[in-house]
Amino acid sequence: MGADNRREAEWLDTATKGIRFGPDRAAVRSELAAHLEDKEADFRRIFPDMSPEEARARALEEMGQAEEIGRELGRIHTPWLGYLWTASKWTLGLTLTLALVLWGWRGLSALDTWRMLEEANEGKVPYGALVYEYYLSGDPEAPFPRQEWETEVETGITRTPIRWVEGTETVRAGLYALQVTRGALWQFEGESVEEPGVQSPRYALECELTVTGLPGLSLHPEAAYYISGTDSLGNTYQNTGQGHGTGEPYILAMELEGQGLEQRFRLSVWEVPPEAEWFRLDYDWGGVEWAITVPLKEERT
Amino acid sequence: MKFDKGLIAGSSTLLVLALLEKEDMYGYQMIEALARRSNDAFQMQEGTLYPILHALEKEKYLSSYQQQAPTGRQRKYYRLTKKGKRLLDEKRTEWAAFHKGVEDVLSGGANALSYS
Amino acid sequence: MREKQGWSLPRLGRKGKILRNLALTLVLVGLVWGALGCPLPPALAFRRLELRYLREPSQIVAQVEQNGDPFVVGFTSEEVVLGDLEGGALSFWNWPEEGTGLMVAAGLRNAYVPTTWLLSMDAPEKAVSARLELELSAWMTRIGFDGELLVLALPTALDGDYWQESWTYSVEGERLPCGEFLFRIDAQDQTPWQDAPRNGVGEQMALAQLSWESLYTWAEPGGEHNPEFLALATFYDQTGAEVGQARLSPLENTIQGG
Repeated sequence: MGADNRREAEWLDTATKGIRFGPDRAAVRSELAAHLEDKEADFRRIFPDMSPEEARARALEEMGQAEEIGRELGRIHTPWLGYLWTASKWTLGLTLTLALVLWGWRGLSALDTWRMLEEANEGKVPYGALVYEYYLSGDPEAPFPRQEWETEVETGITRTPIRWVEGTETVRAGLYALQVTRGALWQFEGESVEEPGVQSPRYALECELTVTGLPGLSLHPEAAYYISGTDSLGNTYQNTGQGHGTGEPYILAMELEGQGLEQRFRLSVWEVPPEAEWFRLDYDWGGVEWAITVPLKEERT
Repeated sequence: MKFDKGLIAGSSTLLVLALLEKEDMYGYQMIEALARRSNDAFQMQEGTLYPILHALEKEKYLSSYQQQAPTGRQRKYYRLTKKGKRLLDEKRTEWAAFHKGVEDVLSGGANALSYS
Repeated sequence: MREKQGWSLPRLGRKGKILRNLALTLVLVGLVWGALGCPLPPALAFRRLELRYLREPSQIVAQVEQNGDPFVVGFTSEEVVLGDLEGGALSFWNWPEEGTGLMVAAGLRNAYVPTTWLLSMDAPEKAVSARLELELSAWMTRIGFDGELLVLALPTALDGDYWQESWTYSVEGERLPCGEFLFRIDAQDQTPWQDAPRNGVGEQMALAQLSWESLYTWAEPGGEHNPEFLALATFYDQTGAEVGQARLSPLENTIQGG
């Protein structure tokens, strides 16, 4: 019995040794082994007196030359696709493990931070953001946002929007699309608690520059320090990022919270005369040039 | 009666494809069907069936799947694909032409006037 | 057949599985790369910064590593651009109108960078070697038992324990292919600031002084007791003759950005 099993095993091994890729070889071997089994079972059925060893021997005989079959099968079952498949499985497995480890580690620490921030900022909008929104909305009816402890305090200033900014055309520069989306020219009257003694009325243009970029390539906030300006009366405005003398007109650029691929910058321009009919943002730095003219409308739509 | 091996080799493909035309079969089943249908005229070395099956499968003339036999073992069944059916039809035509040609020669041209 | 990678559409043959595995691998690699902050090789990271700063690409002339932090230097016709890749920021220096200038590369992110480097701008053509001399003199006072503090803004009348100290430091320049010279200042150098207490405030401050803002912001403009700092680079030709000099002065050399 043992000897025949071995012969069968040897036959199968020889018949499949040409197949180099392991899993393939095993599959074909089991297919051939099944065939042999069926054949032996048939012999036993047809010749009930035949011994199992004989049945096995005859089955092997009728199967044919293991060497020849082995050669043919070897030619057909090339291992390259098999190796490639194994390689692709391993690469995927390793990359997946790496990704999970990385994500698990980062995810856990990020989760903590995120949870802490969520708790701390439960539904609160920073006061500064509320103030910027107020100015950019140009809404004459809107109440100026106050901090909780400020309700009783009079700041002594009245704020009135006198000209309005509606959306301008979109300008393209580098990878970005830039547009001034809203804003207003504000008139401030009265004496400021923060800057007592400063003459009134004063005027400032507050407008929102929206920059649309590409994923992972947001406009660096420092680039906004190179935006300067001109008004319809010929006054020029330097960006505070470049330094400016006191008393001179200036533009202050500040990044606000944006969404997705959109970034928002608040541009504060001091002081734009109330007669100005338009304001132009100028940019010429590092070989890139662009300009956006912002009409200052007398009526709000 | 055992036929000349050369004749068998060329027509093995045709035989295998024809066997699978009506029904999916596994290797041993095909050997049996072949013997049965030809009344034992065709008896090939059974092991040589598999290189043919695998080659045909590799070229997408056949597809395969595993099915569990009543004995509990997994059997690999082969099925004729559309491409395989087209090849079968082609080979049939070829064989018919070859067959006719041989017939014509053997009969001394008696059938030469009848067109097929 | 095999049930190993369970997930697979019944029709996906081996080729299909290979492609699917590769596609998934690529997607994962992309995600991992993104999760790591999209690291790029230095030149590309620099280009990305330039894009984000809305600038035309400059001509990359040098790549310097300091303390494992990579920096890239680019030239345009108007400026020298320094990319601090680790900090994700660019800084700019205008070409000197005449003569040779010096720019400071590091120490811009924080005051206590133990190593830093300077680059010449428009080094003399004939220069094949260069030497940088640094001199710092500052007022010191005592704090606690044995602590020392470098004083930046002194009262007009000096009472209490104040004294003046000075340090010098000298380093050879490395000539870069673009013709400029790189001067590395290393706290672990074998020739540290002479007479500076090791790891003391003196040494620390001597190197930190290259962060202008920390040194001069608090000093009284025109005050008598301000720290004084001089960086002087001297350039030599192959015969050893002096062919030029460059000075770094905090007041003349405004560092933008950072």
